[in-house]
Amino acid sequence: MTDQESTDGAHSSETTMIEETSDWSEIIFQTLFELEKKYSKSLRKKEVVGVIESENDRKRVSDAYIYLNSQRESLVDSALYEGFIDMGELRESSYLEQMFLLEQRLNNFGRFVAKSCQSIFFTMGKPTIEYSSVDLGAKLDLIESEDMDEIKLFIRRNQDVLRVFESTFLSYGDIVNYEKDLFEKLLNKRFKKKELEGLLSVVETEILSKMISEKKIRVVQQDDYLIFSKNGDYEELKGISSSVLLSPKKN
Amino acid sequence: MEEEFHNTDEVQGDKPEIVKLPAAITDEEKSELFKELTTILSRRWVKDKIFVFGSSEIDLLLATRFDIDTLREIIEEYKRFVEILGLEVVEYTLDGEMWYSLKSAFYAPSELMKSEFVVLGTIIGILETQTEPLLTKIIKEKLIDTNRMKAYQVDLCLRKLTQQGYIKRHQNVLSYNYRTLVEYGEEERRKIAEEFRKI
Repeated sequence: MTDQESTDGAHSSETTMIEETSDWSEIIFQTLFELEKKYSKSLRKKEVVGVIESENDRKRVSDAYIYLNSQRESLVDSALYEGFIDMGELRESSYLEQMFLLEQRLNNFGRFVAKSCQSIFFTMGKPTIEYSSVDLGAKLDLIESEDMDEIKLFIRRNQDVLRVFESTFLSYGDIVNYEKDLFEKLLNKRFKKKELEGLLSVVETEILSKMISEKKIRVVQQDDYLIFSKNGDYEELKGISSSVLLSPKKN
Repeated sequence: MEEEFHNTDEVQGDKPEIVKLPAAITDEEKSELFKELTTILSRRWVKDKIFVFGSSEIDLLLATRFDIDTLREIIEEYKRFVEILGLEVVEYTLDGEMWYSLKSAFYAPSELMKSEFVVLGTIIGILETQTEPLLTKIIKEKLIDTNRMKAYQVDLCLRKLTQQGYIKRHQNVLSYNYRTLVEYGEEERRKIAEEFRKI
């Protein structure tokens, strides 16, 4: 291969390259032009082009400057880049505006709630004394519903809250005696609840309760009366059962 | 003043069984008592993992050994005393017990953050307008799904509001605790519900 030939070869390949380049530059200029139009239009209308779409557009024309020949083309290229920058700013400001508005609204609401608050007054810091509530258990609910006198009474009783209740111990003989007394007092008689409460002491009531559960005495309620009997037919009352709460008054 | 004295006499005449305080307690003792009351009523305690303020009535009774009428009377007088300082004595019920504490008569800075106020406001807004039980998920729907707040933020706020005694959480159902009712009157809660509707 002569020098001439090689020169010719080089020339021909250069021509092809130039042709290719001019084709490319045409295509790229077309793209640049279209994008520039798109962005200037969006900016004018203040329409935000999304980040991903904008980034793809930028990638498409990132190497465009290589193929640009004329000053006119370069101007379009720089105008497009300006469009990208402006779009970025518009996007950011519009996002910020949205966030700001919501934030502002929430802020205002929070401030309104804070302003309506009449805060409890207290001294900050950890107390050195541990809080311990008086363990009054269920009694607390009881006095809630009672009247003033009951509360006073409760408070008076409360002063010796740790006092242990006295227990009464009964021998077998005592119990039998009590039972005898109760038979005498109650058997084949009828009483109103109030009368019965006046008649019985606490211990007697306990014994009566025990006797009923042991079926030594039978009680039937008729209207307001409690009727006591012995050796009744328990079968006929099977399944029927009720309780009567007595508050004995006798000491 | 004279009229007032007359009235007191009349009341005493009508109800002789009520022990009148000034006769039983000297001025010196009273000032000492008021100091102690201020100290105890402005304390914060932790009870069942939530903050409580002031003192329960039963504790005051046991500490002072007064009968209930005397105690209530002295608290009435103490109310007038702290009014000058811009404070109010509030009564609230906690687990069936009556508690006394102090609160600011006007707006006072609270230890809650803005975000916690937003969550509390949302709870008030919903609870005031609907009668169905308020589930935690509804609060989350309102605040997280609408991108207003982050999930962890809402959880944190709910935990703090529970601990501070503003809300009660029972099996994911939210309701007011004593402090919301103490710090926000009915009128305030209604206004908050209106504001909530706007956002």
